[in-house]
Amino acid sequence: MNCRAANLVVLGILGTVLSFGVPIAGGQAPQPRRTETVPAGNIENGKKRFQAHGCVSCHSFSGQGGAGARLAQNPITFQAFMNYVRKPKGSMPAFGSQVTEAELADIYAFLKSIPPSPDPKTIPLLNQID
Amino acid sequence: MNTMSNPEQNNSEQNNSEQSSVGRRKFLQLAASAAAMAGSSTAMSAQQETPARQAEITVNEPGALPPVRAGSDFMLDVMKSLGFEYVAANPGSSYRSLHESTINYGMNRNPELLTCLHEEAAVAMAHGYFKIEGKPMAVYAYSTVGLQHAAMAVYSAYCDRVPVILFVGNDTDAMKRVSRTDIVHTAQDPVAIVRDFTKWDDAPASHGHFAESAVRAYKIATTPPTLPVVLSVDKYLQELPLPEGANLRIPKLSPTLPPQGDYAAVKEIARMLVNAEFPVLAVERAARTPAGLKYLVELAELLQAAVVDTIQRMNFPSRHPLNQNDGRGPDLSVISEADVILALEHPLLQSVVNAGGEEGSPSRSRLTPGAKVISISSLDLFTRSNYQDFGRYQEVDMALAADAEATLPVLIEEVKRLITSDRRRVIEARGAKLAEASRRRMERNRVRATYGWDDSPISTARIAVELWAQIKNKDWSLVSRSDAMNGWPHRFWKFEKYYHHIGQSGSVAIGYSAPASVGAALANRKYGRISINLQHDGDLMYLPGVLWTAAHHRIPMLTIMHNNRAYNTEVMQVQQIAGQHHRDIGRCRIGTAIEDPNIDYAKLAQSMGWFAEGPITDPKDLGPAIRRALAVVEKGQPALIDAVTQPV
Repeated sequence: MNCRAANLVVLGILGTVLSFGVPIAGGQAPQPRRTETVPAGNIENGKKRFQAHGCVSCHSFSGQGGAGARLAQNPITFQAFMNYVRKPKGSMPAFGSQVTEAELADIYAFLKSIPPSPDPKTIPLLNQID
Repeated sequence: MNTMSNPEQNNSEQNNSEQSSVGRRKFLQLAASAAAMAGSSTAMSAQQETPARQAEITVNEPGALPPVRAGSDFMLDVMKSLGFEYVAANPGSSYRSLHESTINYGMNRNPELLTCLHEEAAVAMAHGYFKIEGKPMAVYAYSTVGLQHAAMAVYSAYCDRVPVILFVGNDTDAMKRVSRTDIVHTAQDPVAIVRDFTKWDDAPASHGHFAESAVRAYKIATTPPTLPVVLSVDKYLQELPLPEGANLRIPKLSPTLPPQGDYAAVKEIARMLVNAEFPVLAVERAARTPAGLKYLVELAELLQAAVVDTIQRMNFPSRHPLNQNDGRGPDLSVISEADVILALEHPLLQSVVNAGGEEGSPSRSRLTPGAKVISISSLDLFTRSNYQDFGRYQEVDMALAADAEATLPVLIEEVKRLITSDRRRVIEARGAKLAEASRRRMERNRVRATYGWDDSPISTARIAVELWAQIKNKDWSLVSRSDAMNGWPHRFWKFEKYYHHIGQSGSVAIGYSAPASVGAALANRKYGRISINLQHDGDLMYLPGVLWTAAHHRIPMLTIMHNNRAYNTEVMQVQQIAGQHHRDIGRCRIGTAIEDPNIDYAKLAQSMGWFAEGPITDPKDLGPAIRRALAVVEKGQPALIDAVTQPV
């Protein structure tokens, strides 16, 4: 178990798509309406469950998106994440109770652990494209 | 129903049927004699028992046998007159005489026989070849078992409006069927299996009839809408020796000029486009030739009109600021802004101007009230019933049954004539807005490409970018489906020339891309272009034998595998249904995954004569591998890199 995953994270909730640490319009930090306790998650197990439940087909192995939304570096609150997985909108299949809260916590921890993507300016091949 | 009459009757070149029969018997006797002479003395003795045969042997010593001019020789003359460069085929006895004439009488040049390991590969190669070369390739096949194998690829060519000309051998006369094979490989009406998705077919009953039908077939196939055609060619007619002095004639091919749209209607369309506040050009197969690409660019730039391109053809430059398709499919939001939409060769227009409508739910129009929709399409001149590729019915305000490419020059001149200085200011402002949107889209894509940049398996964006860096200064051609690698090439590569991509399969069928890419690469070979095939793993395994065909015929091409070890679209489809049924979504790789064991595509390619590397899982290894493979390709050989990729 990765200890980082065991951290309890206190989150501010602003709807269902608020990103951690990402400034909102106007550059002001969001004011939390209430706090949320996120269950401890195991990153390694989360990675395995992310694959086992077939999430990778649409979101890729590291949650970078594809046919489905990008999940890495763009985490919604855990509660919103859990709600969406169980009862999503659009073409995503509804997992309902197929995935437990503990598994979701592990997957959530895994997605949060994915390092940020590099700045495109640091990738010479991308900058050579005119 | 196609039936064969007796070729010895009603045939100008065979006014003496007895003579023809004797000619055939003599040919067989000569062949038997030659075999006997080359064999044992016992065989020779047996032959000599009959005085008549003895006399023939005396006259025709081995090496001095007079050449027999077979019906298939004349058929080949007809094919040569039509300018076929290649004929793709998997060998079959019902066209053995055409085969032999091709390699010996025609000396295997124009057409050259391409050895294919499956009839579906043969037709798909012809499909890809046309997309580059702009002229049909011939295909030989068995009328029954061969045509059944070929049928899927014929359907793709049909959906993609590609002319392929098939010559299928058939043992028409029951009295001449000898073996079990002859019997079970024969049909009364062999072309019936593909008639719903071909434009024309015939079963010529004489050599003269063959000549007329072959020239007619070519003419019909290459007249827009261009589509596949089939000739059922009787085996006996192929093998029948032509009598001395046979007076056979090959008709001149008189190509049909594609129809231009009605001039008054074209003038009205020009007026509507020039006066529009936000005109949109919706294109599917608008550019039949490089000229079509040039015209479309000229029209779009004159109007500074947004172009919604489904990239079924190389219609419009990928990075042009007016292009609304950045590889992830056309951005249809511009349809909602449009007051005039001009659709060019677009059978699926209904799905462009409407949203939703899946699974019986009502579709919702994207059109603003009062928006006008105009269609110019040659498909209005030819429609079949059974297969539904013509799409759902779309109401339009004006429909021209005409070839779009042939109509564009007149339309362009009318547009030029009508643009006033006032309208020019409006047009330029519109163009500036679209250019700014295009620039922002490009920057977003540059950021998106960083997602999972260093991931293993490798992201498809990384593959597209690594490859582009190494080919952008070469003369390259994407010979696989134009939406390959999740459309990333279209986001970054500069598709500008007509041969820069070959569009899509038409049928959206798996199994098309690998053989079509080999056919397109063959067409590119004589121009010295680097052919790039971005190859889905599932698609390759339909017809992997085409790798051998590419190596055997020294067709240079670089194949990079999009090896996600699954039919991933189907994984997602089954997952969606499992969700609807409230059942286990995690089990949906059963029946869709291509793993356990993983296929080693490098070894597969190596076994068929390719240079190959992989599997490559670390993105850092990709660039050097591409460099090594390109060096091989530039020496004239095919090379494959097995890149293990993200699922999507």
